[in-house]
Amino acid sequence: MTLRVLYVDDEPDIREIVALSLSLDPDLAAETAASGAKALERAAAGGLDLILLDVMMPDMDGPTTLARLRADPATHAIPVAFVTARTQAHEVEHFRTLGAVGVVAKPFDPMTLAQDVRALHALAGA
Amino acid sequence: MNARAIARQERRRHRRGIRGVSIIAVLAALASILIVFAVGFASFREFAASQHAREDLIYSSTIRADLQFIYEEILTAESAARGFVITGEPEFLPPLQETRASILQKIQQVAAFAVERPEHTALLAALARLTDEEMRLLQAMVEARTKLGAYAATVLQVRRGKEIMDQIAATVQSVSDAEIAAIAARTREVRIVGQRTKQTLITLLAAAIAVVAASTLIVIAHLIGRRRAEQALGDTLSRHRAILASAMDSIITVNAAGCIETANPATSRLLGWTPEELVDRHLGLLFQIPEGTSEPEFLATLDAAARDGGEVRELVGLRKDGTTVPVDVAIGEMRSSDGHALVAVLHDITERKRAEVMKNEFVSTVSHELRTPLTSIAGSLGLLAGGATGPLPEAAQRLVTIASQNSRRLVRLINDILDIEKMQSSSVTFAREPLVLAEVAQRALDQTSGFALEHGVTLSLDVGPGDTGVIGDGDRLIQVLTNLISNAVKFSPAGSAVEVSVARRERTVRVSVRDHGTGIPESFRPAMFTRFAQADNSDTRQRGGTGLGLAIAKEIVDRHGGTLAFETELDVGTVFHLDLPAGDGSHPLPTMAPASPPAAPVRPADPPPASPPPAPASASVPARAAADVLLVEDDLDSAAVLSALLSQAGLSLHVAGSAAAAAAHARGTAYKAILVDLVLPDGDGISLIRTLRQAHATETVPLMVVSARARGGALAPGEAEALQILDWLEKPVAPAHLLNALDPVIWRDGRAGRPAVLHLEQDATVREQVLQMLAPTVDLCSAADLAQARAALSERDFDAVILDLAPPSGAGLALLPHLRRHDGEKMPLVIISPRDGDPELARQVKALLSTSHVSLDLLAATVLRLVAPKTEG
Repeated sequence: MTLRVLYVDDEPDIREIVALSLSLDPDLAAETAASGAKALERAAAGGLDLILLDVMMPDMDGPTTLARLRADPATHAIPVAFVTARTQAHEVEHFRTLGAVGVVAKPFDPMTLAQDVRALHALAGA
Repeated sequence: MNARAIARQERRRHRRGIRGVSIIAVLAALASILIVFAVGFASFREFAASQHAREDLIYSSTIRADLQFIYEEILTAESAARGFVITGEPEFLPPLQETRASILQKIQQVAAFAVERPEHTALLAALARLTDEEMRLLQAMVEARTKLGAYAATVLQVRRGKEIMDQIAATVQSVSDAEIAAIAARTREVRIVGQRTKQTLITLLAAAIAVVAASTLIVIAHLIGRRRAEQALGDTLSRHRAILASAMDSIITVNAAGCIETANPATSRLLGWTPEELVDRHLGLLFQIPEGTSEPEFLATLDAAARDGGEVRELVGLRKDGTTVPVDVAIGEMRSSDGHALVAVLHDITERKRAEVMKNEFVSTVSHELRTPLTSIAGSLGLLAGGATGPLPEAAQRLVTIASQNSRRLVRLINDILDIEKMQSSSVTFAREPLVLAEVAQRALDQTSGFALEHGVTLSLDVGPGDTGVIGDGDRLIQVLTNLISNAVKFSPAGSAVEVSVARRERTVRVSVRDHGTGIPESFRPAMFTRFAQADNSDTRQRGGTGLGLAIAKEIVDRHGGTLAFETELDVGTVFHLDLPAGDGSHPLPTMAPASPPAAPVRPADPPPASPPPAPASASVPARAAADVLLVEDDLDSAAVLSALLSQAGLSLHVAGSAAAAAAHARGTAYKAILVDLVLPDGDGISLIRTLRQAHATETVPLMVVSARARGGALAPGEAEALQILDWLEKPVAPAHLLNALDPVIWRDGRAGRPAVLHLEQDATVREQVLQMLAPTVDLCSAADLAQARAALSERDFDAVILDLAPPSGAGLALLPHLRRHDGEKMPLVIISPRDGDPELARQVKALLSTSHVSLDLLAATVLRLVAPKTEG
């Protein structure tokens, strides 16, 4: 079954690299969004299995986007993971307590990113 | 220093002065009494001598007068006799007769009177004899005149009379002369005594004058000295007052009972209390007592620190208005005549804290800002090097690989720089937990085994006898050891071995990491632990290190109070020694839960050590009770965090965004616990708590505060007890703290409500880690083999089962047919499998975790999610 993953980041370069990395796995269908607002729009449209959120984004940051997703009955069940350079131990712990299924550290290994995404999805679906 | 202390000091000085003067006065009085006695004695002696002399003079005069009287009587008798001889007249005869008798009687009286003059005895006897003879001569003359005529009588008188009279006169004169001589001698004696007495009196008078003068001088000198001392004290006090008044830091003295004696004006500026208000108040008034400590314990630690030579510690000061201020408190001991006391110097570190926060934010931001472009670079290069865009020409492939590797190295470098910066700025707090160093070494070995395999190096661990317990931060010590081991591996020739040994020494535990590499060049040895130190620049590239690993390791070891040293020999190898102070059993290590025999000391995992112990595996089948919690919180993010936490623990939650909504919720629902944020859009949390406590439905409901504000700042002393506030959770709320606080409230009817989980895992270390991780929220039954698992399954149903299919536990699949509850429903199953994405297996389980990706956190989160929804349903 193809996993539909939405990657949200304001950095177009990184969006492109993530999309390319995820496309290495034929069972992953990756989409990207450039802001939290666009992510909310896309999530509300349905069909997503996992959302990967950058933390530091202008206007609406990752944690806010997550809170909004959780507040909306249409999106509250979609598992969310953060992809961030903020990887100090207390920061990671904080993201977990916000309800993220996991944290992928930036810079990530593009060759194994798809594998990490699958693991996160497995964790979320448990 | 305040007026009271100065007055007390002055009184003490005054008392000492009085004592000195009193002693001098008593001595002077004693000397005066002695002088008076001496004067009295001398005067008495003088008086006695004079009296005696006077008596002697009278005595002597009496003798002489009597003798004169006798002599005159004899002359009278002679005249009478002579008159008769010449005239023949008989009228001359009667006086002669009378005189003779009286003279002899008088001579006897004088002899008796002069008994004290033995030298006169012979003379007086001679006088008596001569007188008698004279009297008889005179009688004979009278008889001769009568019988023979005048001539005969005259012859008698001429022949013998004159001679006798001359002898009588001479005898009387002798006695008289002797008396005169005696009186003269006596007079001389008296004069000598008088002179001696006079000298004595003069001496005594001089002594008296000297005593008075000396005591007067001493008193005057004392008074002058005292006056000078008072002036000096006054000057010192003025100086001290000026220093205290102008000090920027608050300076407080505290007596042995923990009560404040003095406080300087800076205390007012820092804490808002005037020095007068603080006098006799308890020191605890000024500080937020650290969590888990009572005020007496807190004061005792300060006292101990002061006695131990003093120290500086970071505390939270409490202002009069209830707000807090971070302070560095330098505590020292002060010894005074009143005994042992403390001096506390409080330095406001608000600015430093702000700078630290800014620095941390800066570090975090720099970290993020550097990593964001690196993500693109490393990602692009990784994709290119990994062939995601198709095969590259060989030269391009090589260059892209170099670029990719170096981008990764840059990431490691950034991480290491941030790490060491954080550590050296002390912004990293190290955990202090009991650890078994042998276990830490084993985990470091596990983490580096893959790296060793890549390099063709074998790893070995040798644990010596004895307790290898230490106190420290497990993750950081693993970081040190993985660095030492990976260094050893990097510098070892393929096919050689890296030997790790753990040994208990007298007061330390030592971990040694030995390689058989080329050794460290002598010139490089002194720089081993400095930053960016590698034997030559090419090493950094060749060995793939950042040049910061050992500097970080040294920093971590230093922060543990340990030492990191090495011995090396060229072409033989190098051994690094990590020495840490032994735990020495003074911090008892937690023992294993009963479900996982044999009991062995383990490091508590991420949940805090205060987590309640899990129930024994034989506990009855859990029957979950609905555990509703009301959260009064208007901040959506905070509510989401707490909601996630509570739902993980299997608790259902109502969120009220305002005080009014909270009151309405509380009227309609019987909650097991209420969590209140203090800042609400329509009022403050404390007022809400008061309202809740006044309502019948909520007057006894367990209630906790969840706030960014500190406890001391929001409540008057004793108010928390009055309002029955069970706990005060400061934001950000530590998950374990919240769950621990709620635990006795929600599950107070015993452990019946906790979900039960069975964990089959052959590796004892993993069992222990999972147990520690899950113990706060679930009843975990750990089984080491199939038999134990079957026995547990026969006794009870489980809400989830964790099976590790990785070898050697792979036989766990045999349990699958047994995983049905008594009501026939399948028990939710979490499988950890080495076969990624096995679709066959995936159909049978709730969660399939890959051995290669699973972590303790992930496993715990998965299990908690599995058991949580049950409680909501």
